[in-house]
Amino acid sequence: MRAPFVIGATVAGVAGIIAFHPHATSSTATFNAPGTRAVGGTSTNAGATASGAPPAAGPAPAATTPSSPTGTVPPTTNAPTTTSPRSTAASGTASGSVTQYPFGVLQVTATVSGGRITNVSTQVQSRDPRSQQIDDAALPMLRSQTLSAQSANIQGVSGATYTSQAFVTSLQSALSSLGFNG
Amino acid sequence: MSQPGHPGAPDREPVLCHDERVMGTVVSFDVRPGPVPLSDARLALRRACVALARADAVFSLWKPDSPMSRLRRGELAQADAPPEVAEVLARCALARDRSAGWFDPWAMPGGLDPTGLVKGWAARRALEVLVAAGVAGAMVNAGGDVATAGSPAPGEPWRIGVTDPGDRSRLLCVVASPGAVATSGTYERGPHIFDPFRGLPRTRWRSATVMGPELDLADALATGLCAAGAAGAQFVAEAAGYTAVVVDDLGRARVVGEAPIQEPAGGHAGGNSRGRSFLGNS
Repeated sequence: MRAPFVIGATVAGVAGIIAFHPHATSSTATFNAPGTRAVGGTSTNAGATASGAPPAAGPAPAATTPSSPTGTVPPTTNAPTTTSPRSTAASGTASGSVTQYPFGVLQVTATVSGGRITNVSTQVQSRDPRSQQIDDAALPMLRSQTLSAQSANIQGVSGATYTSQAFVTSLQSALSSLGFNG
Repeated sequence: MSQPGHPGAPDREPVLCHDERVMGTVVSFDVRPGPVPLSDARLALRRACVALARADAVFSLWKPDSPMSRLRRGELAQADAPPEVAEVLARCALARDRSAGWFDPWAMPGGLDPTGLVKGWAARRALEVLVAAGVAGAMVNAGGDVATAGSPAPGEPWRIGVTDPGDRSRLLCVVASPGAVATSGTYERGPHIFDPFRGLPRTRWRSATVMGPELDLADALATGLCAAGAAGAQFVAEAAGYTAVVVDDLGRARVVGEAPIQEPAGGHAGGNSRGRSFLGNS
């Protein structure tokens, strides 16, 4: 039989977890190390919009039309450097691939300065009001998560939340064109 | 426009991305075709979406005419239901067993409700379609529950950020996916996790993230862990191949097992972090 716990038992319970795995915590000592703060919010749209998915594209039925491949559109300014470690002092601003998704068309522009991501902005053309609402909530969050994590090299986000793969992909494309392989 | 495999630009391998609105959420795909022609990968992606739609049609409780809805009302015998129903219920029974009863679709208000497992199960099915097509890597992110196969680039793991439940604009950590990363918690959708032993909704962790080989089980264990609190550490530890990261009401993160944590968010900053120790500040 499992007696219900009271809230007060949580602290003891935490100790219980640690007790189960005394060795489990060795490699990861800390969380939530302070990342960079978000810098600015202005969208500096660098350069030409990469082609591949014209912003005025017609409605893309969600069920049947996977978006065109992304990450393959040559971005705007700097050519990709070869294999640069994440710590290289990449700098510049570049727009990522224009990515179609069921809610519209999205393009991320990223600015890297001194090897750190200093700004991420998103252009979205959504179609219906409900999608607009989702985007309005999700995209700033994704932007902030990116700045906080300082890592372009995240393919997805786990959490009870909506994340747009189009955002992640366009961002990766923008950052890799800047030689930022975080 | 596209130059897959362009020499000197190894990071320009083609990537197929797609966001599918289904099962009451958004399911995101990231497919790395590898040796598979792009057209074949696209086709597989479409078929994966069909698999999701099929799962939704069979199991949705929002649709009164779905086989699962009819089964619940007693209008359909299990023997007459689509074969997926028996398969999902078998997975539910396994999840109930592995979670020591803390995830129990049979104890839900209103009767049998496998919804908590179906999303992860459907994502696995979709992933299997892509794997069967031979792609080098694929990720299916079903509203924050992530299933992965292969790798995004040779020798690299799928790296998945875990949302900080105390500040959703930040990542708690980044993990290397062992196949599945599932997060449960009330911070996004409000109370919806059910304690089968008390018959009430309840959550003991602000969020619980479970990693392991199979998404449906990881998702069920995360849900059970949220309801069970500290007691859940034991069943997660006993589930071979599964680990967890939980965040308590005070925002402290703890791990269960050898979780494949790659870095705390904001890592590489060079020490001096005021982050929270797993072991410290009791």
